[in-house]
Amino acid sequence: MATIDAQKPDLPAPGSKSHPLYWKNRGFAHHFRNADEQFDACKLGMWLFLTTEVLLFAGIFCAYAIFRMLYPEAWTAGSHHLDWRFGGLNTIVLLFSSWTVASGVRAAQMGNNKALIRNLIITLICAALFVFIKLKFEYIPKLSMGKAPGTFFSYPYAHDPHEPLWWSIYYIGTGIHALHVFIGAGLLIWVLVRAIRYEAYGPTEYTMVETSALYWHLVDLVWIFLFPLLYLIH
Amino acid sequence: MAHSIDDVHIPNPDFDPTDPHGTGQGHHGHHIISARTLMTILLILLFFTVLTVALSRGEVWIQDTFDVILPQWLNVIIAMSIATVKATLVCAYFMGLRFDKALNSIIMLICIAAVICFLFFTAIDLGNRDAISPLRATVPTPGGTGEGLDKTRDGISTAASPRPTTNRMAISDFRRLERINELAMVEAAEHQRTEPNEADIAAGEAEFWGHYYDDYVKKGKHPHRHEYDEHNYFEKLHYAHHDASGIGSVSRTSLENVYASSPNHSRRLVGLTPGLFGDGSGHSDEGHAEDHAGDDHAETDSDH
Repeated sequence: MATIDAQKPDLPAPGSKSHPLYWKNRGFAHHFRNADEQFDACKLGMWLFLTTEVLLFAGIFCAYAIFRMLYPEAWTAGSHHLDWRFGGLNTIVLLFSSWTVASGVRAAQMGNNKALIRNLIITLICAALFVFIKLKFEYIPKLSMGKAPGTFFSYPYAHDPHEPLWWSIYYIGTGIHALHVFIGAGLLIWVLVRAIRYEAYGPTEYTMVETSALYWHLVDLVWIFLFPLLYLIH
Repeated sequence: MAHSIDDVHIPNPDFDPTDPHGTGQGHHGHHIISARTLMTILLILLFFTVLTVALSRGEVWIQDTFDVILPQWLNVIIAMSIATVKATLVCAYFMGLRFDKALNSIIMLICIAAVICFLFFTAIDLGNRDAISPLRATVPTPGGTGEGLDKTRDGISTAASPRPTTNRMAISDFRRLERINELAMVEAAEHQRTEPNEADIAAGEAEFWGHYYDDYVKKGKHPHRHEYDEHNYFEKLHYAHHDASGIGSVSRTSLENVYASSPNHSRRLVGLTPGLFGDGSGHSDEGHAEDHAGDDHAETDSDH
């Protein structure tokens, strides 16, 4: 077996047109009839995965709805602790990043690697900005005032006995969403590295750009609902 | 090794080793959304974001200015409809469902139908529990005791949590009393006392509620009396719901006068929580510890 390893040919330098990861050199798995079928299967798989993500957040939205029905005063009081300006700013940041990532997919489809790299970098800056606003203006000031979830709640000026429950829903909802921001940014960094090093994406090979972009759009989709639920409904 | 039929090689002039199934290779051309469309969709999404914020703020403004309370559903319906429109735009154009195979859209629609069932059946359950028997009605009870974390069901402390037990009080009430006690201790220390007396506690309470109502004024809202403000510091500190002279000019009496008039009556023990759906078992008086003022008068459903 060792001889087989030893016979492995030396790979050409990353970025050269003969590297197997260069987009023109990519084939498709033998169980597909053609690259199109492989692309469609990958995308279908990604959509199936996205439905499970939607169901994950549906659980949180359902908990929100139940406790809102039971304790409307606590929810009114809770949403008054949040500043719509930071929520709105983060909405704009995420919508903008969704646009840049969609433009990135378009750039890959057009074979414009530079535009793809540029769009991915802007998207990643938006992701960092989102997390920065969330931590600096929301999580850290609120936690330092004792507006913490459940039994960690130590804010003495609560308006309603169920406010700790509101904060539980707030931190779980936005926290799992922030986790998705990190995962989505990680995927986009992976795509970015491959685009820079190997020029791995082009008109016939952009599955990874497409599926990572779909994940990023999901992050945006969830925030589109979280923002009004937490910040605007009073 | 025996020869099988597969070993017989029949050359086929049409056979293409890179496309063994003869279905043709390469992309049939995926739909590429134009940059103009993407930009238009972004602008529409930003417009809807501004619209939903404006409508929400507008409702608050109408309520504050004309002193009316708009129905809650109005707020919910407007915000959720706009969010749904935005989500549809993101799915259709940014995620490309509109130009995609129908199967992907069908999967997402089935998922959304499942989510709607999930929310709908939960809502009709919670909202209609009293339809058959009033006893089954969902009764919102003051809740949120931290007891569960450091005590077992039998009430034996497991010492698993460094946080204090709240003695069957809601956490928010516990933290309020804790803060009042803290302020009373500061007051006592100023008068070289180790234990706060009645006046110190009254001072602590006045300080607390003053801060509480000031918070409203700072945010430019009318302060409202809190239901747990049982000594009515709202009145004593001269806050008013609709002061003709305007919110900014709310004047407070000096704290000295407030202490003098502080009634020496019992403090209500609040926040008895029998659990989310109120089975009533938590309404017994036995488990209640005395609070720091030592003048308990439990006000529960069961003993009135």
